[in-house]
Parts: sequence; structure tokens; C-alpha cells
Amino acid sequence: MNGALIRKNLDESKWLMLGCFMAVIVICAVRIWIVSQIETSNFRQIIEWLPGDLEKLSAVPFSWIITYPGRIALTYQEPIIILCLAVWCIARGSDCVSGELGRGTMEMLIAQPISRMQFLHSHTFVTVAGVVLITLGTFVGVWLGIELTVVHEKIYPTVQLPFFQEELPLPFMTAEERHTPMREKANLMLFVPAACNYLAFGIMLSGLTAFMSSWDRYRWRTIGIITAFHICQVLTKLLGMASTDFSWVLYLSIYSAYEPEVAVRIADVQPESVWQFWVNMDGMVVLGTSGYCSILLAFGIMGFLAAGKVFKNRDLPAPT
Amino acid sequence: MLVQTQNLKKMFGGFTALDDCSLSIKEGIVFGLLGPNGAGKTTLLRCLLGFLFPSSGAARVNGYDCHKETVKAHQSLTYLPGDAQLFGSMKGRKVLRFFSRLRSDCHLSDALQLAERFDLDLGRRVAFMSTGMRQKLALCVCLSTRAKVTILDEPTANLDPTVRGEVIRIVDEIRKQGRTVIFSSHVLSEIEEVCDRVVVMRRGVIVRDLNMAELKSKHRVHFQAPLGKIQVPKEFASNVTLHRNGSQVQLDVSGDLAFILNWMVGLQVSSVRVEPIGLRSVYDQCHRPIEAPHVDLPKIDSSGIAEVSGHCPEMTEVDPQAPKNPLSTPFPAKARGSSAELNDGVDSKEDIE
Repeated sequence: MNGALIRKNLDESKWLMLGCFMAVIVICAVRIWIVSQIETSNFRQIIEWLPGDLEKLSAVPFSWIITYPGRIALTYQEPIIILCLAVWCIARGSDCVSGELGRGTMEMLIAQPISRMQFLHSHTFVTVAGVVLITLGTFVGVWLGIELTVVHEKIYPTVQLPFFQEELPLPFMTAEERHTPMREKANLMLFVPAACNYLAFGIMLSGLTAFMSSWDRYRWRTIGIITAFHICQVLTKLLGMASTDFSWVLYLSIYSAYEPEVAVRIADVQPESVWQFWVNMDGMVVLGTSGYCSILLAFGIMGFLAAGKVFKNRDLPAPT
Repeated sequence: MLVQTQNLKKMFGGFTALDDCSLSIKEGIVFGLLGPNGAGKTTLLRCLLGFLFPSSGAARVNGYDCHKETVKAHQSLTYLPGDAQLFGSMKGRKVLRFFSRLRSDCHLSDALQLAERFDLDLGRRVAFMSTGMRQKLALCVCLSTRAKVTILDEPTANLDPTVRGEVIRIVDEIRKQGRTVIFSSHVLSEIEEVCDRVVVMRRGVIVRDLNMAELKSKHRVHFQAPLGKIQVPKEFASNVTLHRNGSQVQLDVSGDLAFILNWMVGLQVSSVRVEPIGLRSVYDQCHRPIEAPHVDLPKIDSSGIAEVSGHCPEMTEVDPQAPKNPLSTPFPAKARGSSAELNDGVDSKEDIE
């Protein structure tokens, strides 16, 4: 790595990095505030009306999703939260080789006494630092949301059923309003595994984009290819989840390893297994948080290594 | 030798951009690379810089392999690309500071002095600089180092005449410091002015390797002489090449002119003209320009019908079926100047006795 190059890369990307960081903080906090505004009991009614088939589109049971931790965990599946990370990863990943080549700035840089690997590592360092910062932003947003919001609940008087040992609410009576801080409903530390999964996802996307950029000479083409890859992988995952006949295609989608809500559920339901690679859950052995993160990190690291190999051995064409 | 290439070859698919290029460049000279677009100059420079991996052969700068020891080779060189692009978001001063941090032999104070010499506004962002200003900024970056080899790819393109002259002076200063400059350009006068040695390239091959001191000692003498054989005295026959076209005589002379002028006094010559044999003549020998078809302006005769005359060197036969209206084809039946006519005027080299 090279200090001057790191400074230059930070300087070039600081506004995008800060923009994404601030955006994820605000979105996460606002989303948790929205969660606090709608009572869980309302969702229970909705879920009862939904056809049972829909549950297969979710990696976690609906009965858990409607809990406060479940609803907050879905923050990490919000398209805009994923978009912020994707914008950063694709923008910076595509810039590293094809971006500099396309702008014509590569020549002056590589003509200096720095190796190609130094150049690439300096770029990778800033890209990964940005991914870490954006992940931190989501966590800060979740923390702010949990700390600052209060859940408003209406508690109806209940009556004890004599033989069933259950309490029956009496909605026709005046409800008691109760204000509970969100931190009493959801523990912040439950979301650490989700943040780790988000971080690994960012590294995977950055690595693959850097690899695409390393052999290309046009940045727009790199962005096009990686965006098409992103869409195809999402569609593959959806197809695998929607149809049992095509469930095998889930193995073809790298996005099958991005399941932040599963990681939060494990932390919530089976805290002792939260960092295990494999977890025995609901009578099935499934991948745990470490499993998901390892797969994503492996792809990301392979992407960066392949980018280095390609960039080290390729011709650098004159700018067009 | 400071820069060496051995049988360097670079192919792009089936196209050979550089073929069997062997060069040795010593310290303290300005080495010129000359050739038209696509001759392989930039490919050669990019191979020296390690940007392109050669298909075969090797290149070394200061003893370091340009492709296996790139960083060490780059410590010995500095490079100005043909179309220098810098970071649009940075201001000029920041660009200079950045590059001075990137290499130990690049001093910010030197770069700032150069910027002052080029009258460059460093407070402006690169994105808002004109092409010429960007070129000046890149020159400041490149020329502020103390590298042993300075590679300049068309350094004066886009520059105004004042800065162009300044660049030539700086190149001369670098030479005086005992450092080497590789100077690639299309501008013959610049190459002629500043270079000690010039290589002419054509289609990826080195076709001429010229010592400029020798070239500058050569002159061309034109004169008219009475018809009859001209005999060059044996004592300086090896220094003279004679071409004759009727009464027009052309002598290419290397070395001192005094002896040849003394000899010409006895030849009853007239209309004597002496000129140095410049790089232009050598360049033209290597790259004969494609003659454009010549068409005279139409003459209007008394009947009002336009008549066009012209000649095309590629056109050897007149088409008897050509339309009668001479304006309907660019080279009509009444065209002038067939290849036979052109050959009549071609110089014939006489034996020197």
C-alpha cells in the first residue's frame, strides 16, 4: 500500500462515502421509528390473512418476523440499504482499474515507482474501509433507532378463561396506553450478526467488481456487467425460494448467503449458536452466521486476488 | 547503456506493432523518436515503461528489466504521456504535492518553480483547465524529478510557442545535467533542434538511426551546369553523391564545403543554391508522402464549356470510353500527366568517377 495513493483515493471518494454513511444512519433510524409506530398485534392479523404459501419466500417464519427484533432485522433487507452499499462497492470497485484507464489517469500513476499491486491494494484498502464505515453506519442507525424510539402499545383488559388457562382480551373496554422504550423490546447486540453479514456482502460485491474492473478498459462496461450479475443473482434467489422444483438454484446464487434476518433470529432464539458455522434450527441443520459470512468473504477475497493476478499480468492500453 | 532493448517485439493479435527493435541509449543525450502515427513509437515507449508486455525480446532501463523489476526501473525514469490526463477534482497545486509525495526524487519546490516558468495557474481545478494547461501541469510533474531518463511523448503538443520554446530549453538543461531524454515527436524542427540521435520508425520497425551531428554536417548543393558528364574528383568522391536531371544538378555533400565550392568554380555553373540536408529529407526518404491527385481549376473556353486538366500519379491509362463531358469525372479523357510523363522528370543518379 502507498500512503499518498490512499490519501488520493480517500479524497476522491470522501463525499460518496460520507453520503452513503449518513444515508444508512438516517434510513435505519427512521425505519425503526416506523416500526415503533405500528403495533405488532396489527401485523399478527395481517399474517393470519396471508396465504400460507407466501412464507416460503421468507427465510424466517412469519411468526418471528412480526416481533420487534424480526421487524428491525428486516432493515438489512431494505432495498435502499442494500442500494447504498451496492452504489459504494460498484462505484469504487469499478474505478480501480477500468475507471483510471478510462479517464487516462492510470499512465501518470503507474509510471511512478509504485508497483501495480501497491496501486491495487491502496484502492482496495479504501473500498473496504468504506464498506466497514457504511456497515458501521447501519449499526449506528439501528442503535439510534432503538435508543430514541418508544413503542406505543394499547393494552386491553383481559379475562382469564377458566378451563383453557389463557387470557382473552376485551377490545370493547377502554384500553390502557403503555409506552415502552424500544431497547426493552429489542436488544441492540442481536443485530451484530446481521451487520457482519452486511459487511461480508459488501466485501463480496467489492471483490467481484474489482475483478471485473481489472481486465476491462471501460468503466461503464464494468458497471453494466456487475449490475446485470446483481440482478441475475437476485432473480435466481427469488426463483429458488418461490418454487420447490427450482430450490436447487439457490445454490447458484451468491445472494443465498446474504440472510441478515436469519442471523438475527439465531441470535434471538438460539443465542448460544449465534457464531456457529452450522446451526440446528427447527429440526434442520442450516448455515449459521459464520457460514453465511464465510461464503461471502471467500468470494470477495477470491475476487480481490483474481483482480490482482489479472491486473499484474495485463497490458495497459493507451487511453482512447 | 542506460536504456537497452533487445529484439523487442509486440503483437496485438495478428498485428505487429513493434518488430525486432534493438536499441542502446547512452547517458547524457537527447534521443529522438520519429515516425508517423502508428509507426510504433508509443508502443516502444509503453514497453519501456512496462505498460505493455512484449511478445518477445527484453527491455532494460538503468540495468533493470522493465517488466520484472518495474519499480526499480521506474525509479530511474519519468514519463510524460502523449495525452496527459490528471485528476479532475484536484487543484493544480494539489496534483504537484501528490506526485511529490509519490516519489522521493520529485521535489515540490522544483515543480512550483516550473509552474512559474510555464506561467501556470495552480489555483484552478484540473477539470477546469484547458488542454494546454493540463499539458503544462503534467510537464511540471514530469520535469520536476531528478530521474536519469526522461521520456517525453509529444511533449509540446497543445502548447503555445513560448512554452514550447521553454520546454526545448529545459530538455537542453536536462542534457547538460548528464541525464537522458527520450523525445518522441512529429515536429521535425523540434527533433532537429534538440536531439543528438534520432531513430526513424516505420510500421513498427526502426528504419534509420541517425547521428544528428553527422546529419548537420551534410549539405545539398543545387546548381545548373552545361550538359555533359560531370566528374567528381576522386579525392572527395566518397563524400559526395550526385543526382542529375538535365542541366539541373544536385550534390549531397558531407563534411567541409570549401573543397567542393573550389571544384565548382571550374564547372561554369549558375544558379547555385546551398542548403543543409535536414531531417525532412531523411524522413521523406523513409516515409514518402502519398501524392494527392492534382486537378487544375476549370478553364472556360469561348464556347462556354469547361475544360479540366489534372494528373493523378496512380492513374496510368486514359480510359477511351470516358464521357465527353469533362466535368462528369474527376480525371477525364483530357487528363494531363500519365506515369510516363512523370517518369520523364525523375532524377537519374549518375556514376561518380
